Amino acid sequence: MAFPHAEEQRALTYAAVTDSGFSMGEVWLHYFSLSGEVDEYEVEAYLEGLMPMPPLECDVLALAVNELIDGLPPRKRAPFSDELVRAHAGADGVA
Amino acid sequence: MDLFPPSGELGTALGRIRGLTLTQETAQNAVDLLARVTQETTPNAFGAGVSLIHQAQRLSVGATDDLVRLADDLQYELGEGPCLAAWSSRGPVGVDDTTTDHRFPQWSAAAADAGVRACFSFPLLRGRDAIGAMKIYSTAPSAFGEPDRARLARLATAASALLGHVQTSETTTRLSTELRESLRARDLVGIAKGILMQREGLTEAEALMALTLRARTTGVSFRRLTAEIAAETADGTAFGTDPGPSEML
Repeated sequence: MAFPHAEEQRALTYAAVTDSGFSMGEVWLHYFSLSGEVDEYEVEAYLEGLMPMPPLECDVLALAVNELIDGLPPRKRAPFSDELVRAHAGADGVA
Repeated sequence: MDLFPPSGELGTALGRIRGLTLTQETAQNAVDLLARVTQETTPNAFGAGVSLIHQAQRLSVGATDDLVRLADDLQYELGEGPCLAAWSSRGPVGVDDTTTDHRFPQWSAAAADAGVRACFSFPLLRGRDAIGAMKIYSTAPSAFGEPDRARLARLATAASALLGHVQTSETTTRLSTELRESLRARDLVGIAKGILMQREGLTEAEALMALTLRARTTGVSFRRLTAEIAAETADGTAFGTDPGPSEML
């Protein structure tokens, strides 16, 4: 079931899961809720590079992983100086 | 298999998936081993026990012998005793002599009758929750010194970390809510797939592909996307509101 770039997709999906800190169980449950058909055991085996999955299942898994990542609280961002000036002006009622 | 298995079963299955739970069997094994290790490392104790407690109900108990089990059972029958006290107060509780200690009058009397003279119990703590207690028993009064107490405290700390994953009824409830939610989401995907198949003449795989593509390009979550497609039809905006008999087929 080797479709083009299957291995690259798997490796990058695996990296995304590892990096996000989600457990295999959490990933599988979300994948399942998006109508994923492959069992948890096999999904884990796929991610570890032990067995292939059909291309569509790989995409549903990618979607599940991305939705989980999108749902994470965003990282803190640094404010720009003018943003702070505007924010404070607004709070003081000047703007 | 039952079409709608009780949520407990599904919860357990899901608990395993989430790596949250030990099965009842594993938990029993763990507490039995722990009781044995405690006894082997505490020569002053004739026996040791470990109880996992949830909402004053004992989930599982590990005991090195029948006398320990009896002394433990008495606590739950009578609703009092050092082990329950250690669990509820989340602190160590010792009884030096069951014939003179009157804090747990019924239990002390019954335990003394059975031959138990001293007991020391330490709670199993997981964060702010007490998940059970460990205890050592002796047939001699004042049998336990500071080294025994300190050793039990250390064992209890290590055991708490390991036993913390034992499933409580609370996690079951939380998990079955999550599971129901997940099944509902999956159901919506099925409905949305069916609608696309009917409306656009797609195969199931093509419908799923179309859906994932739409989710990716619009940035709308799959859950919302599929819910919207299912709702469209309910409003009759996509389909005729009055399907004729031929369309019903």
